[in-house]
Amino acid sequence: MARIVSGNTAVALGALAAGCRFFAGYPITPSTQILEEMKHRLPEVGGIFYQPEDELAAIGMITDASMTGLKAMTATSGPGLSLIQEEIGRAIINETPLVIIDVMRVGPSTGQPTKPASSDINCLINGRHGDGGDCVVVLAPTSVQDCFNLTVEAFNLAEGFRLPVFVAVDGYLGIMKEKLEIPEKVNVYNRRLCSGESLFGLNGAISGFVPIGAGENIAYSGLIHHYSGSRSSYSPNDCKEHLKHLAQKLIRIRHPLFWQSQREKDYDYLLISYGLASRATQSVAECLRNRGRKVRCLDLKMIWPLSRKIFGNLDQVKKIIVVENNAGQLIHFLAKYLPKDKTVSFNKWWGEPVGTLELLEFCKQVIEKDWDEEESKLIIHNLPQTAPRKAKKYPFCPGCGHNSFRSAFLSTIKELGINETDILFTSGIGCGSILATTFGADLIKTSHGRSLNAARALKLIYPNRLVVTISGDGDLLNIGGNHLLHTAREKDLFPILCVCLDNFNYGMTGGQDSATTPNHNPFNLKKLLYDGCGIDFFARTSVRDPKHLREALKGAIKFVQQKKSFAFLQVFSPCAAHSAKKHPEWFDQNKLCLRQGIWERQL
Amino acid sequence: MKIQIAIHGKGGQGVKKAAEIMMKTALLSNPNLHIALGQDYDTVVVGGISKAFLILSDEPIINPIVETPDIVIEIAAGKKSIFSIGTIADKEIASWVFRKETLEQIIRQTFTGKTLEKNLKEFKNGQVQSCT
Repeated sequence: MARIVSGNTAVALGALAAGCRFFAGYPITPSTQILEEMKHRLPEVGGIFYQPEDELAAIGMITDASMTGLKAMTATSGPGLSLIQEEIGRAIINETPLVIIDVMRVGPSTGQPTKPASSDINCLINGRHGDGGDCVVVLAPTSVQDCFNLTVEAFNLAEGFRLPVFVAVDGYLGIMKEKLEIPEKVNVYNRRLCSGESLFGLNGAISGFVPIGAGENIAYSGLIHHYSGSRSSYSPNDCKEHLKHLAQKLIRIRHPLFWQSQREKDYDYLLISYGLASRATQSVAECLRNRGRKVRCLDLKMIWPLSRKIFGNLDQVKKIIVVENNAGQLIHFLAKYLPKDKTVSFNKWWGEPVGTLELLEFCKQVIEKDWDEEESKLIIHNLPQTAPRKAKKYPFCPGCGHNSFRSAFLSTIKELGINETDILFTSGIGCGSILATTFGADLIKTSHGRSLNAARALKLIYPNRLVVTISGDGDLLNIGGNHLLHTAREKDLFPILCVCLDNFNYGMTGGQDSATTPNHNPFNLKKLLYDGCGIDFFARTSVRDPKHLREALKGAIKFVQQKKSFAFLQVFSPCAAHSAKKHPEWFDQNKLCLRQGIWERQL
Repeated sequence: MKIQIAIHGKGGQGVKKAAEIMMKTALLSNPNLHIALGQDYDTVVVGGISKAFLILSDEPIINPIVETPDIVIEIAAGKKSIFSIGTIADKEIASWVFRKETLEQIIRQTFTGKTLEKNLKEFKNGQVQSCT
């Protein structure tokens, strides 16, 4: 049955075909669509879907779900991948099968969230600390069909070898639509259960799995263990055996099933690539063959672990071109197998997929002229002098409540005689967090959920300055919930004004439920922070009631400055693109005003 | 025959939807077509840069990246009107993909009410070029 779907959808369909029955994930561009697909499709086949408060919870939950014997998966992107590394280490040391989809975007930190690249390769292979941290498999699909096929293979490898398997999907491929042919029969490997042998493997041999809660007792922990299952925090011999086993497991996986190649024996030029870039490489190889060049094209579907066998005999090769949609990451791992003097690297790292024409131009230069190695190096110019860029004033959707908050905030501080450029702002990731960029003031815009950490550091260093955190509900309450609780606990150490622009959803990734979505067990922040944690100023207000909003803001700023304690403002602000469009009744001011209030404890 | 189409506009103007409808109408006239539909957009949900790239081809598509589009469709700024400019490269566009009626159908499917009437009027007055 053929259908036209995106790479992300194909991944979800592949996971279901492979028998995935537990999915936990957190919305992040550009992988969110996988989460949406699993949310709708998984319950239909009796599986479990859960969207926890952040990626850390998601990876923890799928690791633990897998320990009960279920096939489990999560999907994330660069920043999420950086977060989840510790738990992946726990899966490695416990030999727990896992599938992790990484839809890659460009740059470290937030980078450019919607722009594609294959830029996580180093992090996927070597992101964990400690020897044995690289005991994972990384697969790289080249087409939508591959997204389906390799996700199935990822589950088979994970279950077969008891380790985490990554599917590294290029951002462009994740959202690109192509034909997908779903085979009538999909080969699925199911996890072998333990039948009397040792609980963990030895010397690369894979033992049967003992699921949690299924009868036989087992304790999974992050410690080195003996293959019998007993934990071992001291014995060097157990450590040696355990880590050797992990390394030997990798050697066993290196089979030639996962590289596709036109099997020409007689060739002068070898083009190596993986992921979406290998589509450009294939079309360039065809052009070069039409010009009479002898070219072999090597498309690595499994980019980790690697083996010398993949490359064959390279003695007669004139040039090897490694094509990557990043600044050159896999080349460091390939270098071991390739002759240094013959290898050149094509890199495109600025968030655009590799085009045929540019790659052809490069290959022509390499092949037809003698390539000067020095030319390919980065040229460092003197830095040009520029005027500071002005922040874009209103980057919000038409109808977004955040604009109204902005004007209310500015008029209030003006009334109090405060200049916005004297305030130290911090914010995180999301629509609400963008607001602080419009003030032209000092701002630390942190990773997702970490805005209060920046605020706390600033407050300790500048005790007499006004520190204001403006962020959204997802950023402050979901992924940053822990930091919020601890800041509230130490309220007197951190006299910060924290504003939560609450639009009841994740606006930027497509309107997923957050910790305040009305029909999804929302937090009662007044009970949580004011009654529970005991902060002394809490206000709940709305951009639809500017008078009350300004009153709350004025009270909060005065409270922070005079009483020197933590103040929290929950500001309802309709999301014009999602929540307010789908549920206008949520933002009915007649109802919202009943919940409004300013609570200040008399000290 | 391979046709590469690029649609440029802003989030909320129907860039992605227009590309989807084009893809579907092209498939209706020729179910064996090979298709690749790519996207490029900014983080701003409504009003940010939005582009869609559609490749329609008889042969399997090796590289799905559009570098030199045969047709560029720009959606006029500020209003919800599509197909204000249609530039066609020298390449002969096969009638099996875009007949005049097909484009009319696309416009019908993309818009409703006043916008639809306005667009159809512009289309019939020749302000919008058809690709036949």
